[in-house]
Amino acid sequence: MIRIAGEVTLMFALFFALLQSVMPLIGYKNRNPYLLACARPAAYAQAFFVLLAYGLLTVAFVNNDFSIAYVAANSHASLPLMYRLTAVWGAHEGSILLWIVMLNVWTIAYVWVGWPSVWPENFLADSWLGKCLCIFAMARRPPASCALFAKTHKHFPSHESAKKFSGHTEGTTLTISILGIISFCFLCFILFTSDPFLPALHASAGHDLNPLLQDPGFIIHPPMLYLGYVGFSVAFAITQAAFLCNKLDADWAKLARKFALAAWFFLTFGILLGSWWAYRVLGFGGFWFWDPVENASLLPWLSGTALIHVLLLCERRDTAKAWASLLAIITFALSLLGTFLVRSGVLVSVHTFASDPTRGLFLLLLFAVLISAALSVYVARLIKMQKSTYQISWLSRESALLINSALLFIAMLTILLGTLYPLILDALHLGVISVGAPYFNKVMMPLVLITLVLMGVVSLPSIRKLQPGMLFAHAGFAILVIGVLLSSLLNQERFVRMEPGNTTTLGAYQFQFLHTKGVSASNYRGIQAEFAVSKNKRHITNLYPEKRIYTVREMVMTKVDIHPGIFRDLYIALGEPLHDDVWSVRIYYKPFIRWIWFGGLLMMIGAMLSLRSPSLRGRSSDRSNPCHVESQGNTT
Amino acid sequence: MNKYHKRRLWLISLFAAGMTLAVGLVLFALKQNINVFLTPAQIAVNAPKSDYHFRLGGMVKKGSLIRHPQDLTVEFIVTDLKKELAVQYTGVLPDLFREDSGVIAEGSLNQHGVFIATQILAKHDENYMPKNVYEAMRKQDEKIS
Repeated sequence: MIRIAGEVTLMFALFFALLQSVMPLIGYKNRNPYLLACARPAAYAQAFFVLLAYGLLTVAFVNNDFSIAYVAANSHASLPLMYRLTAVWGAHEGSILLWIVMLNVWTIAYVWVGWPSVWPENFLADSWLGKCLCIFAMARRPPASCALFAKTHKHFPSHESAKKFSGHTEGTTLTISILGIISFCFLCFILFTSDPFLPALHASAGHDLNPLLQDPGFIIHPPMLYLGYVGFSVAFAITQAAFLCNKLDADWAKLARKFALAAWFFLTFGILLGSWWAYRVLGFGGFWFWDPVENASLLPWLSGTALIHVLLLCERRDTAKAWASLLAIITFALSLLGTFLVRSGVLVSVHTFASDPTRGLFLLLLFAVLISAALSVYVARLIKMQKSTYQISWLSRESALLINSALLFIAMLTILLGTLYPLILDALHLGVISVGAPYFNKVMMPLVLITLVLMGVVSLPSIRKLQPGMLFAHAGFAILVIGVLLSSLLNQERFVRMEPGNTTTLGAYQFQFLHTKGVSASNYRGIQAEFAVSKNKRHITNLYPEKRIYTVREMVMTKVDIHPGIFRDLYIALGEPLHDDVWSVRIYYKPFIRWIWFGGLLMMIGAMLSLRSPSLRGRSSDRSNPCHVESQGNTT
Repeated sequence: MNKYHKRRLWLISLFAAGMTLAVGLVLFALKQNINVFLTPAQIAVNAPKSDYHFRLGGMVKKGSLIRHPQDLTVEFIVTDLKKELAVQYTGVLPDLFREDSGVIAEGSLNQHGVFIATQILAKHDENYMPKNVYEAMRKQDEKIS
């Protein structure tokens, strides 16, 4: 039942995505305001069906509906409810659905922020299709929409004034249309290659969720990461629409920066959560492994950071627009590339669950089509673009901003190279190699340090004049770098063979192995050890690391225990039982490791403050002032 | 050539210099940190020098794991179903290390042809198997059937 409803819902979503993308484009070409006005209700309709599909899949997980192959592969009746809810995006199909959900959430957010207050449904009501679509528009603002049928002809009596009005909404509708195209592509992808509602071929009791993903850190990591990834497609769509309308002005920069900042906020959060998860779950005490999938999330972060900075130049100084719009395209491309890398199965990595070649090909094709279309618009419009008259002087904040963006860009390229190099060699049958963490550390170190010095030189002398958002973000970055450096330089670790009664020393700390006992929960059983930790014979804490076996998959997992602190973490992970009660044990002393996540949090606060700063909070041009709209409409 | 052109020329040359430096650094770092992936059969044909650091991939041979009683040293045999290679490692094995299951070890050969691993990679997917091993096993299966 849910299965068929889910399929139908996805089809409907696909249909409305098609409307959302095609109608405004035709409307733009023929200067038809009625078609342009379809964009918004179509976007609402699409979002409604996508959310419905997601809701249906969630219900299937909650009810343990194992007639659906995807549910059977990733859940089990014994799985706790919380993890049944998050198992929805625990594997390929569901995470692609989550991707589309996020895209729709962003589209709706854009519609709310970017749509002018004057009612465009007025045009809509005049066409028969518009009348059908209006039902969805009504859902949001009933009074206004109900009245609209009556008012239509009063407000815009002639086709002429309607045309005038459309000049103003073009940018907005085109943006929605571009978002619709992206969504359409991904809905095709999900329907043709990765349908989460496919029936299970034979009855089963479920294979359970991968135990690595059964962790509180994982509950919000993927949604935040995807919100970040996908959010950059709004900045991209705004830029492309501005290109199509030839309106790369301060309003464009402000709107694009607003969405890029919001996306950056979520991406930063997602990456932080991912690194926190790796630290606690993988049991090696590391926070970043330079795994290709981690790199895939860092790439759009780096170019997105550059984008935010350069957009500031476009907004305030009316310069560097070509660079900013290229960065918008690249950031979007990198977030598509990230999806491709993680989801196509080309990588052998912690996160790769799918390995179906048709999926990879489909995604690669999608990537090629979207990016080449974007780049051809870019190149075509770039030639016509007016040269900026603003001159950037040496040793100014403007030039520092540009150098900073170039550094970020180079950092992005080096990571991209290190990530793709093995894939390219393998694809050309030139041998199988891997690029290790030392490469990334070696290359990133000088780049990060130069960036840091530059940042300090620019912001420290005028620290009083800095906006609070910038202050927080930059201070956060400095703290993060300090955390990374100190925790790697002063890190101490010990691998020992221990049995109850033994004591081992690491630095100034003594670890006494007290005893072990059995533990169990609904979907695992395991052994818990108890360690007493002391420093100079003063007792500090007891730690309880565990070794678990998740019964359904017969998979062994390490549950570490950590004693956190501002200046150091103490970290114990049980290795393997050697015989009887003799264990191999990993003990780590991790100084300043919390500073990494604390710095990251400060950066997020910075982004939040910037979003709320008066310069961004003000509407770009029109909402409060319809008269202004009229005049703008006249000039176009 | 006016002031504006001069400035632009400066910017471009600065950018070019920066790029050259970056490319140089990258190539230098890449050269030192590439790990070639080899299987026992490849090593049997053309054994690398004893200080050459590389990645070894294959399956852990069933029943080959031996633990030293005093410390954390283990020995096992990695096979790609054509050739075998003895591996020695001191440290804690990852959770998914299992006999008769895929493994990747990083390290180098010693004078006696034993692979001394500095790291055993934790591949956190129980279905994981090195690609060439998988292909070798598939061919074997085809032969049988």
